[in-house]
Amino acid sequence: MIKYILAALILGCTAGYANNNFLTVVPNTLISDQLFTLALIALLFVFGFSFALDKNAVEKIRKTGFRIVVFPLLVAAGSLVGGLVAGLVLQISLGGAMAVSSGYGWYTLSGPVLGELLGAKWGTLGFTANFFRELITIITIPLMVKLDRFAPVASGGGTTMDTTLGVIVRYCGKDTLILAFSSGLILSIIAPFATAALASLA
Amino acid sequence: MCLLTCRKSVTFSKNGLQKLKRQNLQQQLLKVGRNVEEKIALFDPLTFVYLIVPLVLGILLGYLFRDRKLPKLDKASLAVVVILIFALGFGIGSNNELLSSLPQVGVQGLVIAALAILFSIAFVKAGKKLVAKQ
Repeated sequence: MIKYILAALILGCTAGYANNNFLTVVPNTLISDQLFTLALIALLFVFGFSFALDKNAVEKIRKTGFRIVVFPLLVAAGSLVGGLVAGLVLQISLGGAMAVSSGYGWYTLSGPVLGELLGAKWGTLGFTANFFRELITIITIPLMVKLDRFAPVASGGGTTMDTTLGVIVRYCGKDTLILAFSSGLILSIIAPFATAALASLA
Repeated sequence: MCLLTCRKSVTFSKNGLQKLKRQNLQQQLLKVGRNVEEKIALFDPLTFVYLIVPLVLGILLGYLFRDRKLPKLDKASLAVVVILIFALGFGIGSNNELLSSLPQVGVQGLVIAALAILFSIAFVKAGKKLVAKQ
């Protein structure tokens, strides 16, 4: 399945680049915004539907229970430590590095917010680092799922409620839907505050 | 003598080129900064709401139909995932800010992303072990 996903990603990138820089066939936002949102809504509906068709769905939700809240907090803490270590390795401002890693993969948030708060240099870093987090999650998902069934959900961070949700549920199983969505949702709500708070330390 | 002046002029133009490059970079970065303000205005927490609605609706309908034999939605869900990833790629490919920032801080970004992922997985695994022990 990763073949289809990589093909779609590469094809999408090429089409988007060509449409933006050479021959504009459609407005960029028609695909990257409207079609994206539409596909996402359809995806949430289809996955929600097939998840609930399972007779043990209610039991599975109950089993997830406590994890729903703790999981994203562990991911947030892990990202924070990851940013700290990266700051030490790269010898850049630790607060800045932690602010970047606290975008949890949401690059369209992290880039602009850090650009605003810390200047363009950090904005570009926020963009790049969080973009890579999303990209790595999508590309390495067949490997990560072997490491741990929930590793892709941890890796995806805040993107597991939208961009990486489909790939994750296809690879990690239908019952990861609720955990992945709620983890992504909670991290996406924390992200702007965490980013801004940590940026003030830089 | 002529050779010397020639070399001097070459170095001059080299310096000039570097200066030009630096200015270009600064202008680019300033452009990124300006777009930031527009983007922040677009950030709307209500976005989350319209994602929860189709999810809950899907779950409710699926629950209602759980006793009926329905065709598997595997193909439909794969198609939707592929469309979503295509649209995601389109957004990446048409995002000039993102593409121009990749070569500038690519390595640093990669290191931060990789370590954030690594520690996130490690923390989750550790948490799982802790829960299993109790």
